[in-house]
Amino acid sequence: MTTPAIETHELTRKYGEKTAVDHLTLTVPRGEIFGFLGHNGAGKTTTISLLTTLLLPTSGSAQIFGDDVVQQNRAVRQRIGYVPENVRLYNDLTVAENLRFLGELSGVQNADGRLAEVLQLLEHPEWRDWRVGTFSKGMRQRIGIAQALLHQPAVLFLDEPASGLDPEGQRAIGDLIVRLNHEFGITIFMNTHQLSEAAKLCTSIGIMNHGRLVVADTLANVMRRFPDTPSLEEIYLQVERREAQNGRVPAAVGVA
Amino acid sequence: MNTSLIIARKEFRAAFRNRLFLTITLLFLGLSILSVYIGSTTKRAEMRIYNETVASLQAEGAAVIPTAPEIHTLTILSNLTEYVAIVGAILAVILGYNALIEEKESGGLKLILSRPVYRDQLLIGKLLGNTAVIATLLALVFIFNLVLLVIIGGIWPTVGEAARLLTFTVIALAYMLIFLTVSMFLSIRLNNGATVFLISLTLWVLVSFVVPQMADAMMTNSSVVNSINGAINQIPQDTAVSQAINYLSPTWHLRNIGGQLLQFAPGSGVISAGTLVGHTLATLLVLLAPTAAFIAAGFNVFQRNETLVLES
Repeated sequence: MTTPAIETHELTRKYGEKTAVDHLTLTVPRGEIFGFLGHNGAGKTTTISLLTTLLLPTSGSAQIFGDDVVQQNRAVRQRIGYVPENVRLYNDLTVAENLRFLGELSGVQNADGRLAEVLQLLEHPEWRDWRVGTFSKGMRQRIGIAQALLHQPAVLFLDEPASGLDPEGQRAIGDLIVRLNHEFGITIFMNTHQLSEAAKLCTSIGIMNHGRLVVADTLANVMRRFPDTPSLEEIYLQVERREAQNGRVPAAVGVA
Repeated sequence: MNTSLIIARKEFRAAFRNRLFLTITLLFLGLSILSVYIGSTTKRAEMRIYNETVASLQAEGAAVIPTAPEIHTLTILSNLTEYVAIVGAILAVILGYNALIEEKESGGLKLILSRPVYRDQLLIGKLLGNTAVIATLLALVFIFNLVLLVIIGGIWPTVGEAARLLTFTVIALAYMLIFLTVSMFLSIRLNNGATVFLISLTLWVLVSFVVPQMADAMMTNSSVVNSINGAINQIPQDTAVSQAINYLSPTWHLRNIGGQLLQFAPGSGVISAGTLVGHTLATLLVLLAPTAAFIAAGFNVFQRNETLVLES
């Protein structure tokens, strides 16, 4: 059996008394575009921080391509690319200088050659010598994705990649995500509030509610489980309402 | 290349592209020009007055001609001590602030720490890079002042004078490192950039102005009778308490050794080379001690500090 791209078991993270991620058990197979949905404070960013080795779990475990995020964090860091929300690179440096710096930190040999390839992938090789300080939010977001691709990661973590972008910027980011997945086989794990974006891009989704995973399955299966609900947005709202009404977290649906 | 060196190189490059940093650097260099100009003008005026007095006395047939005032070349650069104490310290605070808190607030640190980079490598890289920035800046100031002495002052400094200026530059580096490491330590410890900046500047004001003033308040006045007109002058004298308070101020140490090295302090012209070397080394140790303490504390906190990656 192929090792999944991402696997967590009872992954928990507490901040004092508050449980940000509560016994998260999840499997994301290779090659998926996984959309991680949830309200503000649901625990999405904390989950990404745990999976990208930026935070230590309070309990439980997580593996990226079989490497443990705590015990083998260096190996994990070699395999992952991470794009935080609101990418802020070094404004006083050019795109090439930013990418060369981050590429070298990832151990990329021939960083110059690789950054040229990545800029070509973005279809903007002319950005190379432009100062990042002059860039719009959408351009920064694309450079943010570029920096995460330099070391050819197997899985890419994106935290609200299209947040605050205009429709054109959202489409450009969406197209890029699909290309990365289809052409390069990169597994995508994406936090998003934008349900239309998730419905369009993702092959599977998970819904977090107050730190707990309440839905996780392929998008097609999720749609089948809610036959009377026409859109992902409606499904999401229905789940949220149910959680609020019950005041409890129901059993997760389809969690692998 | 070593990870820390990659980070250090980026810090160096980014600092010399930063407008605020460049503005303050230019201010530093501009003040040097002003300082040398004012210093050399003052010294020339002193010499002119002396020469005119001598000529006048000789014309009157005076038997006793006063000896020429002792003018040390480096006294022209005496203001340099104040520029380092004020502009240098603020510059170091800005560098320390930019190094961590800005990246922490912007999420830039997450980009670095999600790579195969250990926290100690990151901190060493930041320290090395910013130390190199300060050292380069001071080297520029050193060379610039030597050139200004020749161009504006019309004086060729001796090797000994150049060595004194170079030694002062090293002391200035040690002094500025205190504020760099204070600012970096606070950046690690706290999450709000404005608070870091405010506390750093408050500490600087405390050690640079408040502590020396407290020391002044603890001095005693001794009465000295003026031999010419018989008036009684009050001259402040150090006490054990005032000296102990002054020892808490790095800025006092900088001014003190600056006065000896640049020869503007009273009596600095008669200090032997051995004594001066001893004073310099002692000052260097005193200035490096807080830096070492802040670096150690910074490493300790940084290794455990998860707030670096928490969402605000």
